[in-house]
Amino acid sequence: MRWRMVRAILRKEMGGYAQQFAGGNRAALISSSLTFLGASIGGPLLIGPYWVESAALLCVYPIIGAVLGVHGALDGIAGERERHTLETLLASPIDEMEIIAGKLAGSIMLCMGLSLVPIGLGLIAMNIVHADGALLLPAAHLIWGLPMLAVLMPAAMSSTALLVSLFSASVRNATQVYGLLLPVLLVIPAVTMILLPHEVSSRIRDTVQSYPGAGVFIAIGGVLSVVTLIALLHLKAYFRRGSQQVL
Amino acid sequence: MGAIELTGISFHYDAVPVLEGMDLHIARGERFALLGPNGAGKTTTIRLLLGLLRPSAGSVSVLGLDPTTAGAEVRSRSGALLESAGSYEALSVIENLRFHADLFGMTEARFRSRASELIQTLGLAGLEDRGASHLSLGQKRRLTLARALLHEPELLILDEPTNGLDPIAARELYRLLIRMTDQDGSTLLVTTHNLAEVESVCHRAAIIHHGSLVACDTIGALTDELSRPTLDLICDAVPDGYETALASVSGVASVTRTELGLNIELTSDGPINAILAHAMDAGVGLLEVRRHRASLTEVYLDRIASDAAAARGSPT
Repeated sequence: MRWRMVRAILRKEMGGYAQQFAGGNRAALISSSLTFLGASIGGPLLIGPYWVESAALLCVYPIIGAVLGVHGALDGIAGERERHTLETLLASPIDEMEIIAGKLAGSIMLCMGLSLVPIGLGLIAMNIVHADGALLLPAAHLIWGLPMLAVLMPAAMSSTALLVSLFSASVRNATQVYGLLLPVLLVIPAVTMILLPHEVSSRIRDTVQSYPGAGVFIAIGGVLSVVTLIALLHLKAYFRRGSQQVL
Repeated sequence: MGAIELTGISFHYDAVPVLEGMDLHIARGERFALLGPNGAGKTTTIRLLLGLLRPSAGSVSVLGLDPTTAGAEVRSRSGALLESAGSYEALSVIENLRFHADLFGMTEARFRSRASELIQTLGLAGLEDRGASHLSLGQKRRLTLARALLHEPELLILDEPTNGLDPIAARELYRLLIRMTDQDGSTLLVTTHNLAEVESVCHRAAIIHHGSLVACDTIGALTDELSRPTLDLICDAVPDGYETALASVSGVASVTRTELGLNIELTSDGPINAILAHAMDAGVGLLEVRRHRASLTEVYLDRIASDAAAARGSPT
């Protein structure tokens, strides 16, 4: 893996995101940024100090960040194919996994920005307005757990999105497939819990609740890492020159 | 070792044959045209050369390397403009070129001098900071061309390079390509439907049809092979029955009287002086002499028609 190649893809992706975010329009960029700032500061202030203590509320940020940022990954391969740039990219000396790494890094950085920046702004605002001299900070496991989630959540979602993008004829097609896949993945655990015998589901629930917060974060991190790894292995197997479906 | 060596190459998309046992040799420093109708297999051949596809059978060698095993090396020494190649619309002209330079490991100094030269040559001056989405079709094509030429490749593979270019830009492009290949000895493989361009630019050409080569030779040999040379004598007076007398001259295959004078089909290039002397001795009032050879377009049409007829099992 050559960093020069990954950095080239990353730089191009970030340029593309900046263009998509504002459509190349300075007024749109300013208004989008102001909305983002307003929501980042206004939301926590409306909720009050409970916002800092609530793991559930804070964990929503990495999830929303990952969902918002996943579009870039869905565009990653299908979009290049649609715009007739994929073949030119593959006609360069870059390795296929360097393309994937660059695109994944771009997507993760975007998602991290979309999740950690509002958390940081919310904390600053909360400490200015509600601190009363004491420093308002989330629990210790959230301080390392949230950044971890902000990396692993988009890594899992973006790598699966890239995989969907590889097998899709267009970005629209990829978005439709992922749009169906995402609720299914979220609903399956809930439905499974309902369908399981009451004793079994109760035991699972009790087991999860008995774990400390740090344990839950480690478990979620583990699952997300496995999902990412599986998606990356599939991308390595199928996204390669010589494979007719790539072109 | 040539720049490109294809030996017994076959390629099937699923079960559909696209190339069948194709052999092709292109020498280093040669300017070579791959011609053929749409769907003949030209783009597939280019993809095989760049290692974007793997042949079903046969071997491929590009600059002495096998693109299936040393693809990165082949691609780093080649510049490709592929069919309907796009550019990154969210990036400006210079950002598009810089991205390409990064992929090919160009230094900043080399990138700056080369980009500046190509921007001037390809008529992109003043557009450096313009977003690619705001370029016209021809300007976009020039940008993709600049990208292919940027890293000064040893082998240039251009698929329909003048699509979307106006005649002046197309002429400038070919002048640039001739200068580049002459100066640094790089090899050019070009596909185009504009056969006049091929005649003026390329040393050799191959015609591909239904995945097989139906002709491959120098442009001169291809045009010579198709038909006998002919002479048109534009005259103000031709004696009655003179065409019969002229037909008996050695080297003359047939003579036809036309509205303007005589059309003479020759068996070889030799007897032109003898024919002119014979005509003047016979009192033919010569105004003009035109020598006609088959054009590459005629050769192309003839070869494609012959191959199609052979495939149907009937003579042309």
